[in-house]
Amino acid sequence: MSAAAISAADRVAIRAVLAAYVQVVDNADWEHVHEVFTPEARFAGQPLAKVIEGWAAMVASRPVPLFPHQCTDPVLYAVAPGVVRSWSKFFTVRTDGTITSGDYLDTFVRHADGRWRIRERQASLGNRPESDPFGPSRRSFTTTLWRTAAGE
Amino acid sequence: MAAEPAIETVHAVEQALALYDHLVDNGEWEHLPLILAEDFTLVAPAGSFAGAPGARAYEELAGEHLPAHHVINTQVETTADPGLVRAWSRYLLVTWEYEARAGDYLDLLRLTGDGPRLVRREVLPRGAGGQFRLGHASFERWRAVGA
Repeated sequence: MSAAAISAADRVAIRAVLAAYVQVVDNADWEHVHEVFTPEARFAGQPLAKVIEGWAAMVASRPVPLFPHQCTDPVLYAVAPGVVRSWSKFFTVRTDGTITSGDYLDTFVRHADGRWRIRERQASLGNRPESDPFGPSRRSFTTTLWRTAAGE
Repeated sequence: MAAEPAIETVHAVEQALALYDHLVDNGEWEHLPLILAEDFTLVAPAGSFAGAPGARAYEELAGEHLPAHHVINTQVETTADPGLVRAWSRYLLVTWEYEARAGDYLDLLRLTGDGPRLVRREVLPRGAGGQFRLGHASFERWRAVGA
């Protein structure tokens, strides 16, 4: 496994975008979403704008803020010049103090402004029981998927 | 205090530690040699475990539903051997029952042309269930790793 193709500066920049994502989502700060995603980005196969509509409705309907997300464990793999696949994990602390975990699988591209942005994100809720409020889940991401450019 | 490693080394170590979590959580045991040295040893309250098969045996002690592994708070230092670095991290485990477990990893990694490889990992639980059976992680204990 070699990660030499990604410079230290690019790693820091990509990790900063992963960190910014949780601030945008947890604060429902949609006007800053362009700092994280490209304009044409897709999330779970859907256009980002449509996904944000759903998130905004969900946040508005909740009596409490969205559970805070923490992003950890990023592993980066360059699949082409200016294109990096990132596999990271998140955990959330719910209002009752319980904790959940999941994964993000992203395609980062260097945007026209020179900064890294997410062009495509897939999310997994990891392994969760049938009774989970967000539904049951089983892991489906793999090392092969991580190292493969989205859409291939 | 040991010299600071190059930022590229720090990132490579962090990536190796994170990839361990991904591989374990997804049961990709066949890929563990990507980040474990052939002579890898894991030491935990449950005992000592050798190689990639040992790492799998240790992780599967958790039962049918393995917890999700997260690694945070990693520090990396050089050792007297330029081919080895030590790392001290906190781990966070998220269980099937939505509970958290935490503790420390004291790691020794060998730097290779294909990236860092874990040579030794000591797992030191903190809090519920762990209770310092093997003592607790400290700067002195960490800096004895690979000394």
